[in-house]
Parts: sequence; C-alpha cells; structure tokens
Amino acid sequence: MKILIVDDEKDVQPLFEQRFRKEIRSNAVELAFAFSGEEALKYLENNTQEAILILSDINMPGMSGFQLLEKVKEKFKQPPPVIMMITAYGDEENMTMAKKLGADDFLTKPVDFKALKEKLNISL
Amino acid sequence: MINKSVLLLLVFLVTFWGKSVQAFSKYDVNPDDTLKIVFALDQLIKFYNENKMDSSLYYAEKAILTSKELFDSKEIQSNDVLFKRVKSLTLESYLNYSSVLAETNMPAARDTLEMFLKLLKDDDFLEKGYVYSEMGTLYRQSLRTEKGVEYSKKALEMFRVSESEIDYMYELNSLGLVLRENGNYGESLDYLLKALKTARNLNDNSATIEALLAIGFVYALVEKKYVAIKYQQEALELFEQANDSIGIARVHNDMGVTFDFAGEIDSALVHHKKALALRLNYNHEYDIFSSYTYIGDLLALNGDIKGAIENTEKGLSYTNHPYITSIISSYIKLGDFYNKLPDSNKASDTFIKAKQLSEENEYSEGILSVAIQLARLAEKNGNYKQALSFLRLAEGKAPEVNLQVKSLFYKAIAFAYSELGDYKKAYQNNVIYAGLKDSVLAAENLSKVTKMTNIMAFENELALKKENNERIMALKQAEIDREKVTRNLFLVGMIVAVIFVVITLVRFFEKKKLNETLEHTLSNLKSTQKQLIQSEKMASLGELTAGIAHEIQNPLNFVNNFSELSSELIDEMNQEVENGDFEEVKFISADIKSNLEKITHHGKRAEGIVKGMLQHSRSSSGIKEKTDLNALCDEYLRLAYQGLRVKDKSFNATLTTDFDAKLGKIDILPQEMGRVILNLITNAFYAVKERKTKDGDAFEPQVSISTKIQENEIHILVSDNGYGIPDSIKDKIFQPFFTTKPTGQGTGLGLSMSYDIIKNSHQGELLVETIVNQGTIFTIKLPINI
Repeated sequence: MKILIVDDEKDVQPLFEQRFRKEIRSNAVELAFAFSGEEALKYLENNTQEAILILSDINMPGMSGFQLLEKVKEKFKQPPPVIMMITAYGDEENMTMAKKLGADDFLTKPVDFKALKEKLNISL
Repeated sequence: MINKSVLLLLVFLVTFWGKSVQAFSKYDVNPDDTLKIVFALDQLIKFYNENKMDSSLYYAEKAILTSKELFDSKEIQSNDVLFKRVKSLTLESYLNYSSVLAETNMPAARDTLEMFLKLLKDDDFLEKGYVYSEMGTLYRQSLRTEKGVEYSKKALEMFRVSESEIDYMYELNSLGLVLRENGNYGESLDYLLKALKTARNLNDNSATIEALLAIGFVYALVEKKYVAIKYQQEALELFEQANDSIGIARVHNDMGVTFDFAGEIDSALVHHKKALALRLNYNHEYDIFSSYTYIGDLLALNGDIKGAIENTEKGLSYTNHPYITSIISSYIKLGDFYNKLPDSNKASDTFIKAKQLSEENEYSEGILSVAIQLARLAEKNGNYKQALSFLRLAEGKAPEVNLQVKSLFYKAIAFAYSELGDYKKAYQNNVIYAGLKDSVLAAENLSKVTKMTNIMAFENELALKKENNERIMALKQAEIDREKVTRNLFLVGMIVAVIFVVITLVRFFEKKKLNETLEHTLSNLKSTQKQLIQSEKMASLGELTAGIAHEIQNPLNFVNNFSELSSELIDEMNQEVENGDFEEVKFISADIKSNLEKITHHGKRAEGIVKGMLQHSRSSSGIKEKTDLNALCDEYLRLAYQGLRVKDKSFNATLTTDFDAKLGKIDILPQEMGRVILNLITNAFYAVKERKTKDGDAFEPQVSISTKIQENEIHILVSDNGYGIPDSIKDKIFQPFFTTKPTGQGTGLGLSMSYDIIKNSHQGELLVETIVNQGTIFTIKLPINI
C-alpha cells in the first residue's frame, strides 16, 4: 500500500519511516512524502494509477490541507484516494470541516501510530 | 577810585581799629606803627577830599613808607595774622598813594602800583586783583581805554581765582560801564549780565539794581526800548520794595532817557515828570536841575517853547552843584528858546549870563557857543560889526574847543565879514570853516559809523545770542518734551506693567490650576499609554498565542515521537544483539543517534519559540543586538500566519518569502523590530482576509515578505494583495489610535508604534505604497549601519 504523507514539517519523513520500519521492510507499505499541498498534487498527477492513501496536515503555508482535499476530490476520481486529515488536538471545528469536505477520516496530533496502523488495516 | 577807597577805608577803619588793638596786645607788638599808617591814611583822604593835593601826597608818602617798613619786617612776616593786616594796610597805602599821584603824574602813579605788584607773592590773588583794578582805572583816566580794559580783565581773573565774589562783581560792573562808554555794547552787556547774575547770587540788592540799570542803559543806547524798559522796570520794583524814592526817581529818569532816545517824547516826559516830582521832595539840586532841563528840552522838541522856558528857568534856580558846564549849556538853551519866541532882549540877557559863567569858568565851548549866539542876535538886528566883535573877543578866550563849535564859530565870522564887505577876511575865515567843517563831518561820520558799527555789532551779537538762546531753549524744550514723552511712556509702561502683572498673576493661578489638572491628565494619559502599549503588545501576543501553541505543538510531537521510537529502537537493537545480527544493530544505533539529534533539534526549536514569545511581551532592553533579520522575518511570518489560522480555520494565503542571503546579522532591537514586522504581517493578513471574505473563491490571498540590500539601505518589504488603502485615510494610518478595525479588535497603535520604532529607535523610514484593488506594500528602510 502506498501512503502519501503531506506536511510542511520535513521531520515527518524520518518519523514515519521509523514508525513504519517493519511494514516497510515487509513491503506492506510504501511511503511517499510531499512537503506542501502543491507538491502533493504534483505527485498524484505523476502516479495516477496507484491506489494511494493520503495523510495530510491542515495547517500548511500556501495550499492548505483543506484545499488539497478539495482538489484531490475534484481531480482524482479513478481510483478515488483515501484521504485522512491530521488535525490539531481537540480541534472540533477542523474535524467537522474535514468531514464536510469529504475526508475519509481524520487523525489528531500528536499522531497515535498504533491507532493509525489499525485504521490502515481496516482501510486496506 | 578814591571815592570807593574812602568808603572801603571807612569800613575798614571801623573794623580794623578794634581788631588791631586786640591783635597787638595779643602778639605784643608795638601798635604805634600801624596806628601811624591808619592816621596817615585818614589825613590823606581828608586832604584829598579838600582837593589839597600836596598835603594828600605828603600823608600818602608817609603811610606808604611806614607800611612798607612793617611789610618788610621779618618779625611781622613770621606772624601770619599780623602780616595779613599789614599787607592790607600796605595795599591800601599804595592804592591811595597812586590815586593821589595820578592827579599830577599819571606815569608815576602807574609805576608805584607796578612796584607794589613786585612785592606781592604769586598767590596774593586778591591783592593783585585790587592793584590791577586800580591800574585799569588809571589807564582809563588817561583815556587809554583799551589798556584800562586789559587791566580790568586781569583784575577780574584775580578776583575770580581768589573767589572774592563781591570784588568780582564790582569789577564786572565797572568793566561793563567802561566798555559801554567806549561803544562796545555787546561786550559791555556780557559783563553787565554776569555782574547781574553774581549780584543776584549774592542777594546784593543794590548791586543788582546797579547792574539792571547799567544793562537798561546799554539797551537804551542801542535803541532796544522794550528790553531797556524791562530791565529798568525790574530796578524800579526793587527800589519800590525798598521804599527808596531817590532810586525810584533815578529809574524814572533812566526810563525818560530811554523813551527820549527812542523818539517817544510824550512817554519820556511822563517819566521825567515823575522823577522830578520825587526829586523835589529831597534836596539834591543837580537832580532837580537835571529833571527840569530834560523836561524843558522835551517840551521844546514838542514845540512848547513857553513850557520849555518855564522848566529851564526853574531848573536854573537849582544850581548848587558842581556841574557848571551843564548850567552854562542850560543858559544857552534858554537864550535860544527866548530867541525863538521871539524875545531878543531876554535872549540877549540870558546869553550874556552864559557868557559870564563861561568866562569865569574858562569854559571854551561855552564861550564860543555864546559868542555865536550873540553874533546871530546882532546880525538879526543888522549889527554885523557888533557880531564880529563878539566873535573876535571869544576867539582869544577859547584856546581848546571841540571842532564842531569851532567850525560853526568860523562860519559865523566868515558870514559877518562878508556882510561887512570884507570879503578877503570872509574868504580866509571861510577857508578855516571849510577845513574845520570837513574835519567835523569826518569826525561826525566817523562817530556815526562807529556808533552804527557798534550797534550792528551789538545786534549781531544779540541775534547770535538770541539764536543760541533759542537753540538752547529749543534743546531744553526738546529735552522737556523728551522727558515728558519718556515720563508718559514710563507711566504707560508702568500701567501696562501693572495690568500685565495682574493678568499674569490671574493667569498664573489659572495656569497653576490648569497645570495641576493637566499634570494629572498627563500622568493619567501616560499610564493609559503604558497600558495601551502593553495592551497592544498583549493584543499582538494574543494574535500569536494560537500560532505559538501550534508551533510548539509540532516540535513537541517530534520530541515525543522520536523519544518513543528511540526507546522502541533500543528494544529492537537488544533483540538483534541476541540474534547476533550486528549489521542490523549498527543501523539501529545510527537511527537512534539521529533521533536523539532530532529530539535535541526540536527541543531547541520549542525553546526558541518560547523565548521569542517572552521577548515579545517583555519591555525593550533598548540595547541593539546582532540579529538575523531574515530569520526574524520568517519566524514572525509563520507565527502570524499560524495565529490567524487558529482564529479562522478556513483562512489560507500564499506566503512568499524572498530573503537576501547577503544580509547577515545586523544591529537592531530584536523585540521592537519583531513587533513591527509582526504588525505589518498581521495587517497584511487582515487585508487579504477582508478581501477574501468579500470576493470569495476568485481571490487568492497572497502575503509576501522580502529583504534586500539596496545601496546603503536595508529594505524589508511586506506586501499583500488586498483592496489597498483608500487615499482618504492614507495620511492617517500612522496616527495613534487610528484603526479601521471594528471596535475592540484593534488598538489603533500598531502602525504608529511601528513608525515610532523605525524612525526613532532605528533612524529608518516606514513607507507605504498602495494601489486600490491591487494591494499594499509597506517598506521598512534601515540605514546599513544602525
């Protein structure tokens, strides 16, 4: 399974890589990273045929997570990627917004990787 | 001089007698010698007054010899008081001796005085003054007026130096009189006026009157009637105050003469009659005679011959006085009056009386004048021989006579001869007459010219003085005016000053009150300002808080995640050690190390944010620090953005940064500058957010911040693509408390504080460029070496 992680924090890459060490080794997941909404869209355009799970931060300079969500929902319909939005802790408003815009699910920061992995198993 | 001397001496004797006795008993000197002098002088004066010159001279010599002996005595010279008296006596002796001597031998008299001068010391000013004064008198007696005036002036100087004011005054007066007689009216007036001034200062009434009358007469002579009368009037008043009828009569006499000179016969008559009326009350025959004569002359001038005769005859009944020539003249005039009546007999009788008197007194002019008159009478009757005999007889009896009379005399002789048919003699006498006539005319002309010249000189002098006086008066008036103006100005100034002071006081109290209120208000304002600044800080802090929380959340998440992971990795590593896969152990331990580094990195990142937050809220230290301006801009852009996003989740904007890597670290006040940048960015976000709310999806908000070095300046540009700032408020945006935000959302201090920070704390500029509907660019310009 291919997961695209979108966050302006570059350290999310080593974090995710370590958290998914075993899964990566066993080829259960393949991770891709984009550090802005624009970068994420580019990646999606280049990898149209892949079934992808998108994990996106909301607060990003430039294109925000929500904008990315909208664009992805609009542009990429075959196959429609699963999109999970990561929101700050206790941010009910963002959660509601994410759902409204068609996010498949959402996570709260700090990311609970156990919960994430469970969700991934369900999703996939 | 002798008359004055007599008076002086009498006074002197009375006082000296008593004093000298006292002085001699005191100093034990034989008084006989000084008494001898006094006695000799006494005798001298007695004989002098009796006109016995030989006896006078005898006593004068005696006095001089005795006094000279004492004067030279060393014993007396050593006694100051005594020597002083002896000196006075010696002076008196010399003066009297010279006076007596002058009657017979003028040069010897002058030599005597010169000799005495040599006896005097340099500082015997008073004595010298007396001697010079006497010398002056002697020279004038011998008709050497100029020399006399010269000595008088010397005397004057001596009296001035010796501060003997009375002598000074008398000398002034006599000098004035001499100059007047000499026709020097101007100079005469000068001295007489000085004499008058001195007399007034000395409160000497009689001297004042003398000076007044002398001055009056000068004016009368130069035909300044009004001025003359003015002085005479003053003299009159003084005499009237003193009830001095002799004096009053004298002034009326002078006034009569003044009007006479001025040709005002009636007025002259009034005064002479007044004088006469007074004079008839006291027995001074010359005065009465004189008044009648004046009246007679004046009546004759008026054509009243009978009145003239009456008065002249009355005058001639007062002849108990020594002025015989006046009496003779009066008879001749009387005869002439009778002749005019005509009454030949009475005229003839009168002329014969005059002839007798003239011959008795050897009065040449009288003799000739009467002869002419008698000859005319004879000629009138056709008796030319008798006329000629009168004339011929007279010729032999009148050796010296004045030219005018003489010429008329020869004219009469020539006329008589021609009538008698002796043309040769007539011609001879006519030649004499012609020669004399020329001389007379010349003398008359000369005297006329002299008088005219003198009058002109006087008038010039007077005009000059008048001008001077006027100038002085004008100056004084100007001075008075100026003083008045000054005084008025001063008064006005005072009043203004008083008003001013009152106003100032009132104002002062009002102001004091006002000041107290103002101070109170000011302190309130200051504390309010502090609060406002603080609240502005807190407001911007509030804007940041959300962003900061978010910003801190991220590194904290990393810290937590990486530490958790590291812990897991250590477990895995231990597993691999047991498995003996040391290759894997190495990989894991590298990861752990990397994680630990990341933990440190994010921990520091959080710390930096907290630090920034604290700095932001803290007061400025006022000390500039080397600061990475690019990092500062980046940080605040982020914080502002995140802060806004926390408040409005839907908001998003494209952030562009363009930092000049050459910038390096520069000296700024980091918190202050951060606040400015935050403020500008917050405003930019606010602007784009506004537009986004209105324009909706079609609008893509863009906020950018950039830095660059341009020439000598560092430019920081914060731009947005909002609606821009309308022209109407563009000027106001830097004003304190100006805000477009709804009440409660903005303090209105952000831009004004920013402006203040850039301008005053960094010597830079804060500029704004805006285009409506396109956006706004705020530019911070900082000098490169701040």
